[in-house]
Amino acid sequence: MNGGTLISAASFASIADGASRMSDLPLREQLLALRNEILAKLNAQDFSGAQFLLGRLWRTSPGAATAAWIQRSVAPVQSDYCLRTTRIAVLRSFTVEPISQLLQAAALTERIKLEVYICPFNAYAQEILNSKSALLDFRPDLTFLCILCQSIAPDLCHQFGSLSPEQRDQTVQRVIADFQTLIRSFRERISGQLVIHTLESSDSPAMGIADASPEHGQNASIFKINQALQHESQRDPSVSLLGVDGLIRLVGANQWHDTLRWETAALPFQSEAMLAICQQWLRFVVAACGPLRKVLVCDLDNTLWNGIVGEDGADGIAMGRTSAGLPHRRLQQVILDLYHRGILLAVCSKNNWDDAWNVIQGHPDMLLRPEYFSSVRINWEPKDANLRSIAEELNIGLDSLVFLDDNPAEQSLIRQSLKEVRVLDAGTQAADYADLVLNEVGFERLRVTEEDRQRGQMYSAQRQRTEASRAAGNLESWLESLETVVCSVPVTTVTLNRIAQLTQKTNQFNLTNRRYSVSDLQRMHASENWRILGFQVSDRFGDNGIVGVVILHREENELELDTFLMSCRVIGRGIEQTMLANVGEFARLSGVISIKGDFVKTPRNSLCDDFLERHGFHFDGSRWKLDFPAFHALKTPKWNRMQQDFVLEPKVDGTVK
Amino acid sequence: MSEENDIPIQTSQLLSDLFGLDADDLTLQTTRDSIPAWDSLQHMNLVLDVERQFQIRLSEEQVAAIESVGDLVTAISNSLDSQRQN
Repeated sequence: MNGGTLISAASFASIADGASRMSDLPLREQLLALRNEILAKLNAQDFSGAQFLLGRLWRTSPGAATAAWIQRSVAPVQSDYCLRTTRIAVLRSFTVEPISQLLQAAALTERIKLEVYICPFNAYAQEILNSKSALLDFRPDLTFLCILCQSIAPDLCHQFGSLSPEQRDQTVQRVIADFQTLIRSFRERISGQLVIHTLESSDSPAMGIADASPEHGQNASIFKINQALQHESQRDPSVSLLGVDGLIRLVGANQWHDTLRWETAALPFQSEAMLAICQQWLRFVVAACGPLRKVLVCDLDNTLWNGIVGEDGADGIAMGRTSAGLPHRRLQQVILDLYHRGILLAVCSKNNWDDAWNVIQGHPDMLLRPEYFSSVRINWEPKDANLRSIAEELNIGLDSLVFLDDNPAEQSLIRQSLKEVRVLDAGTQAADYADLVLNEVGFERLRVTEEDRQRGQMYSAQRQRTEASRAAGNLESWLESLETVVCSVPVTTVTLNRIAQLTQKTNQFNLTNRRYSVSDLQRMHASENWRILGFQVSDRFGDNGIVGVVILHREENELELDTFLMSCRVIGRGIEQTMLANVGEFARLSGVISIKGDFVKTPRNSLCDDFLERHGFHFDGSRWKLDFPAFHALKTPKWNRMQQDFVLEPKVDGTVK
Repeated sequence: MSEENDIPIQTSQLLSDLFGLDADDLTLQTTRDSIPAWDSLQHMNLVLDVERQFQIRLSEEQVAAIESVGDLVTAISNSLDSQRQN
């Protein structure tokens, strides 16, 4: 089975909750029991419990009938049950109504109420281009633009053989231009995400096997259009693409097209295809409008690996290329992908610390190593308490947590005790776990930024720092154990961007709150009276990047602290003292007689209330001052090591050496 | 789950879900006209569900000829029969 497909009913020992005795009953009766439980939970206002079972019902028997049942059952309590309303518009060239009905039910399994607007057949251009259209009035959060190749470029689909190479190019260029016009006008008039279906390639190109050779290329022509769409999406983050060919591959072309119903009812798809599109749309709806999930909390025994390490020993568990290990290996691979997508990973396992941790650290088949985990709970505490403390440690709401555990008792505990947590519906078959994680729509992101890609690493480094602080016992030995190096970095285009960003974003440790753009900073840097210092901090757990900024202004024989700020990421480690010592050193080399500065109090910078005073500055009635030779006494704390990437020397000719 | 004698039961379950009716009120004689919600869109939805559940494809002629619950059941069993013969 592949990602995005629906999980078969067979994976559940019993579909009805907490009733293993029913597993012998035929599927239909299990479904009836499940429905009765859902109605009871809705009736008792246990909405998270109802949601869990609705998800199971939808995965087990998706379709129009189930969709109608779900909508009808939720309707009486909809306003309490649904946590949000999302407005979606569909601009289309085919019959999407059945998909829309499926989608509304699927959204209810995420506690989303959908308002749907479907534009008239093939009226997408009018709706977008007309400055007074129903689409504009609807103000969608998310719009799907789904046009079939046979609608927008029929000659590319059906008369390709009769086109000359020039005509093909003309058609391709016309379609690209059409799409560009639609995208531009859409952007001018409508906010919210635009999701465009790519054009499907042909299964039976006009030139047969010769299609792959360059002079024919029906699919190459279609590909060119899709490439142009990709380009548009790259330029504008509010434009996303839904890759139709990938979806067709997932479902199978044999179960996708319906050429006859396309002619009779403008319905180009079979029912499996519509379900697949519905599920894919739901992913976009959630990725664009929430609710997003940010952390996957995993159990270890019989979840990340096969077997119980405390009983079977490290040699007795499996997660490698064996029949017992493979399902778990695949799960670990899927989880690793989530990590690189910016989803944080955590462990919550009942085990002796050493037994489990040694496997994570050293088992040759383990893919998920310690550095991938942002938070780890390996102990014998109840799991609900552990999940609470994981959320606290990561400073993330419980509603961002997803819990994966093979043990139904633990699942049930979390579902009852922490209703905000999404509990994955893991049955007895480990082979289903990877799909279960892949099917969690809350892990979808429209785009993965560089910050997303770094997130796991930064959290994990933070965890290791905290562990070190616990191991060290007292503060000073902890600070020493960090092996912090503060490095003064030279001014370049890259560092100036970051420095400008810090002046704009830093609120808590910021003496003057002066905001500068890159061009402001470039002007200062070019002047011999100004000096910009950036401070980069690294320690044995990793690099924090540039986190401190000092901007100095020389006025005759005085040095003014124009800006002195530090990111709260490194607070409490004496970095600010090291930065100030660096300023003192600079003052000494410059031969000035005093350092002066202001403290501009804001509601948010109380962290630096007494900073200047604490370091010997005195207030002369208008400004804070530190005179020669007192600034010679400014010292770097002994647990920080200052490193200079360039010679710290006053500018004589206005340049940095 | 697509045992022969199951077809009427499964079919009436689909209809009762789709239209919010009590399955006991449906008989093979119940006509499309007597259920106001059974419009052309819901007819399409019904056909799509039936096709997935029974793993069959109904022809346009078969789809157009369905005027009652009994017609639908017949269409399903005919389609299953012809699948078996192939």
